[in-house]
Amino acid sequence: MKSKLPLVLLILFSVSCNHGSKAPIGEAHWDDGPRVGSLDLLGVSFADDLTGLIVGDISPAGEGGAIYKTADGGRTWRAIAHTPEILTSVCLLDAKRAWVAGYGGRIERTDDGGQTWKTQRTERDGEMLNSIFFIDDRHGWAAGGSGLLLRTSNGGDSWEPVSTRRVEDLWAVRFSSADAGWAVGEDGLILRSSDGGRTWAPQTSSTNKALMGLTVSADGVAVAVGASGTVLINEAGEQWRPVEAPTTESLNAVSSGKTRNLWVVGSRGVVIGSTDSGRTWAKANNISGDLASVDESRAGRGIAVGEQGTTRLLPAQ
Amino acid sequence: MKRPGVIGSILAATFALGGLFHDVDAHHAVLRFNLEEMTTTADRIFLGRCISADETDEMIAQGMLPITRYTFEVERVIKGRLARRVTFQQLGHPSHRALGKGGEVTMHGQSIKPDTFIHGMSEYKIGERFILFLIPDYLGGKVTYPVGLYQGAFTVSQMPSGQSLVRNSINNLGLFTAAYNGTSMKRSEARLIFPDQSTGASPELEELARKRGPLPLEQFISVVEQIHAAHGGQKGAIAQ
Repeated sequence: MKSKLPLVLLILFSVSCNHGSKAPIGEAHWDDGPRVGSLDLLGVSFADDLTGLIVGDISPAGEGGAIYKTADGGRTWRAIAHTPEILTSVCLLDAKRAWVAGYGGRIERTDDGGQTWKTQRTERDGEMLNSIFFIDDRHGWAAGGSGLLLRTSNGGDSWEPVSTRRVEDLWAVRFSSADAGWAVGEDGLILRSSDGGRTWAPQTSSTNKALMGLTVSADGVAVAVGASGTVLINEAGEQWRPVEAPTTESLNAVSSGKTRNLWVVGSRGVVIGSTDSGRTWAKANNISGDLASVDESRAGRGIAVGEQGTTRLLPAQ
Repeated sequence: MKRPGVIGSILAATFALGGLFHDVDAHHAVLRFNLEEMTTTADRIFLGRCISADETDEMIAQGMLPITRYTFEVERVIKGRLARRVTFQQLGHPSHRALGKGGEVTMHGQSIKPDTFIHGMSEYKIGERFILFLIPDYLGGKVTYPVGLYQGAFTVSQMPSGQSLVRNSINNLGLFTAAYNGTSMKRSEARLIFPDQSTGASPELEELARKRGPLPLEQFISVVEQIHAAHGGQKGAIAQ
């Protein structure tokens, strides 16, 4: 009996470290979630297994737009703040600290779980932010229309515009450390930074399809997704290569890569998933509605959001 | 003369009549238009380059009002019959680059004059290309504006690959998903865009409708032409 202990420990260790070996993608079942308002939802982020935020369009009837919060893993949502601007992206660092970004280049921050919000950046004429990302409580980046890129190293107290000399809209920005990151956008654009976002250089994507979503998985693989079922991965920092996706739909977003499990959502409710950091993909069950954003908690609870208040839920595996 | 009062009351009257605003003071309180209703609401749709923008005042509705007179070199007409060079007027004066001087009034980082500036009114920079969906002239045929204000003004950008993309200032949000608001048509009159279901139309339209953000110029124009034709419209032309 004593001699078997190392083997048991080895098995237990193996299971606990293998974040990617949950139920196969084809067996995962995304369910209809509650309708959250009637407007298009554009961004979602989970802090933990229970706490998440959604942002999106504003009401044309003049009531402004809402930031929605769940404290029960997505089963119920409540509007916690009204904003005068369309918000496209949200990043939760933990259950208390979060940032939202949107049209006009507006950025807001909360430090109390969304009860109060501080405007960190007011609207600028002609600007538009599509993505905001923080890797810790100080280092953050935001990306948007016509090559707009912003960086902060003080939690967003000040945002510095960075020249990219690009005209393409940027759809997503992600960093794997305070130094190394990517931004992706229209026309197959991929930009790489290795100095915390101070400078950016283009990388070859070998596509002119719009790249809409980006993540870096737990084991450091960067994954970009986009129009016509485009999926590109980068395992070594420089070279991107296409991988086969089981769809030709437009792919709008990829989950935040807290583990090796990744989910991608897109038009006509398409959901594809990977358990190996994006190297291989399988299609999940069909769900309806165009989906704009997706995230997954560390425990495997997923949420996708999209048109006209649509939410879809993946129970914790 | 108190200009804001005059402008405010005229705007309130004209926009309220057109069902555009729920509240004239709120930039975002503008009715959302999908592309089909935008197309049927406009009486002129064209692709062109702005070649001049002149700020002036003009006697309109028994008062001197600030207007901006824009001239465009027309490349292509999608709806209507237009001269090669088109001039139209919009109420209000545009914003300008802020100089950072004391006392300067700014909005969204741009310098404005509060008594002549109209929030939400589209502005066009000289040299830039746009697709404009303009409503029929109003206030005695003297002024117009894009359908849904900023929604009906699409900037054309050329990508390094040579591809041209178009988007309005809300990144084309709602072009295929906004409900019919009843300004010019009802849901029952829809031909190509059905926000609550799959369009069931051409693969080209399906692909365009699923794309977020900027849209390819030629495909965008083609779909607008399809919509216009589906409502019995004559093909747009440049009058010789």
